[in-house]
Amino acid sequence: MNNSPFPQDLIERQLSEQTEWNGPDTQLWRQALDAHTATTSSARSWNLSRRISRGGLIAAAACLLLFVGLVAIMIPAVGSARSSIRLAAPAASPAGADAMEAEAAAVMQRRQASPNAPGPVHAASPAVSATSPRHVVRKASVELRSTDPAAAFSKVRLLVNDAAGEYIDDAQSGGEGPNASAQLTLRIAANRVGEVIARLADIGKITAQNSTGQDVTDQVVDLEARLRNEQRVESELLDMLGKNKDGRVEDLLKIRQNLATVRESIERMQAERERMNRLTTLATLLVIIRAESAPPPAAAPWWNSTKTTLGDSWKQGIRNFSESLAWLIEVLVGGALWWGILGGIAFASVRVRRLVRAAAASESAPRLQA
Amino acid sequence: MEPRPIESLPDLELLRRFAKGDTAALGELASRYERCLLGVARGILQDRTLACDAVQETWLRVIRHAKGFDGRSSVKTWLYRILVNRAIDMRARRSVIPLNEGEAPPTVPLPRDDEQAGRLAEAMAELPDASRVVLLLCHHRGLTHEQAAEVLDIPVGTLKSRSFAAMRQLRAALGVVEEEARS
Repeated sequence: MNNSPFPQDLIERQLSEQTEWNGPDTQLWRQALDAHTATTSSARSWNLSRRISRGGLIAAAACLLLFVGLVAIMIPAVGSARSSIRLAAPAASPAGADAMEAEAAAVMQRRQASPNAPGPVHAASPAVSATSPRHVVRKASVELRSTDPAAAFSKVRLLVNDAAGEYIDDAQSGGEGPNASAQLTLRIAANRVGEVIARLADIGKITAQNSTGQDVTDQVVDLEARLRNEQRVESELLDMLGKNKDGRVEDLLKIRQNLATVRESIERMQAERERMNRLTTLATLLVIIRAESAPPPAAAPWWNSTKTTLGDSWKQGIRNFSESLAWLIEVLVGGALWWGILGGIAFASVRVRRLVRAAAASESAPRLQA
Repeated sequence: MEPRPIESLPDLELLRRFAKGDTAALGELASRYERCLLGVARGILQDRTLACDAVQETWLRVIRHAKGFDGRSSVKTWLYRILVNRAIDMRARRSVIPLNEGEAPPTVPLPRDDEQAGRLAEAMAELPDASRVVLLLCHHRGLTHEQAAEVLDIPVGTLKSRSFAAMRQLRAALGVVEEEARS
């Protein structure tokens, strides 16, 4: 190895020469530009696809949200449809001595699986159609002023038409002179409410009147559907019993036991239907009679109404909050899979964007560390 | 008012013009810096072909990121920094780059100056990347110490101390005795 000395200036000169370009002129910038232009079409399509994918991502997220919402709404409908399908499917027909028992079990199972759904025999939907009659529970109250409350009390009692099934549910009267008053609770035909109130106006001076109506059509329809279903089960069990009179005692007992359960349920529903019918066919009319010279009832202090309003608002707020919470949980849990997919897509897109940015930033970041 | 000739425009204005689609502006930038960049690339990579590749990649990145240049540093130091990064990456990809690869191997005895240059190149190749780049940037005619420090994103004082340390390493690699160097 040649050990000739290297003076400092020689080293510095050599170093300087090492970073000098003594080759021919190059047009590397133009080559780079051409290369970039050549890839521009693909880059454009890439940019376009990025834009599309960004827009598409938002659209996909919106669609997913919509889908999750729809799924959340449709889950109960799907469940009931599935129950109907299960009901419509023919039961398995086991062979041998257990066939009857299995059939009875299947009937009862179908009954338990869809207590609210109508059976295949009564396949009509229990849903309320626009043309079906409405079932409304009507309530009204009327306050009368009369010069003779006792006479008015008697006249009001005469308004009830016993022949039409109307009756007086409650009647009270008392007091004398200006303190005389009476109160009656009448059960009158729902279509006669207007007429009765008009006749009350003849008996005394109506000072206050209020009427409300509660639509129970859904409950009535639902009840009738359940009742039909139970009656269908009852007839199936009766058929089974008739066909297998010579069967095993144990099986017959089981069928009878099931039959008793179904009949008990039917009776309960029929009673409920009767009660609903009474509620809807007969309106409740509360009549309060006061003497004309009676002092006006003391007005309730303002804080009472405020307290009531606040209490009602609080209850309503709590109800709304709990309903919103329930809806939120339903959407979150029901769409867990979709939320997961959406989250994954969002996470991946954020990661990709970060990587792209990091790549751009790293171009000018110093590589060398001390 | 007459537009200024492109040759008299500052680097930043040229880059902005190019970002707006004026390729002539990039040509002007290249006419100012391409040879300098090639020199530094050759110094780091010790290979002409690789140096050309590094500079071409540098221009590609300039083309791609011209719109995103934020002006926190000068265009010149930005170019050098991209180049140094490219060169370092290329060296890392090819962990061992034979000296003078791509150039014709010497078949005849070298003259004295060339012999010294060869030894210096060998000694430089023994230095770590950081030391070699510091030495090359400090002795590159196109950069001041301040600009070299900006390229490496370090203070000038740090650059000088690193340059001094790198020079000692180089001299040791060349086998030059310190006393002799002092004399």
